[in-house]
Amino acid sequence: MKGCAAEMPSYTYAVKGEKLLKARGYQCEVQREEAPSENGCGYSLKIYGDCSRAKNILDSYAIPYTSFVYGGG
Amino acid sequence: MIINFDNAATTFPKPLSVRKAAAEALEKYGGNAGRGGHALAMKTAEAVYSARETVAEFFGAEPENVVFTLNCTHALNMAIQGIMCGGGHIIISGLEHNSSARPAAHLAQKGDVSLSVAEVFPEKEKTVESFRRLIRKDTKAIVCTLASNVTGQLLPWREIGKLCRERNICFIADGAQACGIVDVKLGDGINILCTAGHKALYGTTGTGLLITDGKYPIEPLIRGGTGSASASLVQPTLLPESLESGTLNTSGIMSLRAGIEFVKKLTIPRIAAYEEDICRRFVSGVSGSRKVTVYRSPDAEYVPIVSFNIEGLHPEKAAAQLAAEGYCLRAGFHCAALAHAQLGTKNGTIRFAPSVFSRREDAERLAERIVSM
Repeated sequence: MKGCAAEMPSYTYAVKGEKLLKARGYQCEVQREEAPSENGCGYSLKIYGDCSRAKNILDSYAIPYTSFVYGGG
Repeated sequence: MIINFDNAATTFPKPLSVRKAAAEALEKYGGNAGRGGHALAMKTAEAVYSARETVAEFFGAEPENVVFTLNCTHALNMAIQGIMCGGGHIIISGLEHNSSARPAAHLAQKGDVSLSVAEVFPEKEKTVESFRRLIRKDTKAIVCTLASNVTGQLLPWREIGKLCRERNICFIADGAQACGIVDVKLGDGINILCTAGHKALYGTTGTGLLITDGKYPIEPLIRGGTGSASASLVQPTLLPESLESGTLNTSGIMSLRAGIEFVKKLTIPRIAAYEEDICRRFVSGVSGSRKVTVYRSPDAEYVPIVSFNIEGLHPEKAAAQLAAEGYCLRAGFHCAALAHAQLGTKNGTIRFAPSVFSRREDAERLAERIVSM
């Protein structure tokens, strides 16, 4: 299954993004960031499915993310 | 036997569901929310987020704009000092609790802000006009309690919210005595709602809320660990973490969620009607005595709180006599210096404050006892 990961600035926004995407049929989960950016520890949102659309959904609901990486999953 | 009519300070007893939720949190949610990725931490974080959703839905806010605090005083300090840190003019009502009045007065004494106090009248229009007259070009915030913790008087907060919107002024509301009794929503013109979790929302002590619409950024009062961007020495700016440094009170938060669910189930109109009926019976009972002064006006609206005095008897002495018979009522100034200056109650008052667990017959019996004093 195609996948992607959004590095989230906080746990709260990670869960908000997760709930938003799950309500739109996405399979996704909040995980502890295993390779955090230079900002330090945090959480990422693993998303499976149409990642371009998922990114648009997060953007349209103003869910902030620090990076969005396609691939993996 | 204890008969508690001091529920405006903190409600007791707590609903069974609240006690169970707090105990369950200690058993199940032993991780540190938002810190770490192991099962215990993640399960705890999920539970805390779920509580944010409950609060957000109840007050018409977004979950990320719900900040868990220690109490209402903590929330008000964060809001007042966080909004006024760049200076400007602030207006507070003449019925404010010291939790608003003291931080505002402190900033004014330091010369950081200028402070005006709006007189409150029984009539809504006169109170709104009182605020309107004090607004200046540099007025940055209006702080107003939704209901006085001394008399229970409801202030015209929707009208004050409208005034703030028209003038682009941040409206900080103290909902400590109103939330759970009155349907309060951020959409009513409130920009920042501060409230206690342990009063009419029935959570445990050590819980409070700051809920914002996000329009006015709040400079943090406390900085520290947030579980995010930890390699940086700069405090994150995103809510709620920017205002939630340090470990959260998980069991308190779970109790607060259960308390809000309890209020939702009973419904606010039913709770308010029941408690107001108890107040009516109490007022009616003590009105038979010429010695008792009740601080209520026919022109004002009230939440279920009644302040009174007994002629020739110091409030503290009266409360002590009643306490010896098992009645819990608070006497004194109720941490609201401005309100007593306005009421002219130089020794303070005795305050009667029922909860949803209070019994009508206890209120009637207490009234009879007061008349006999």
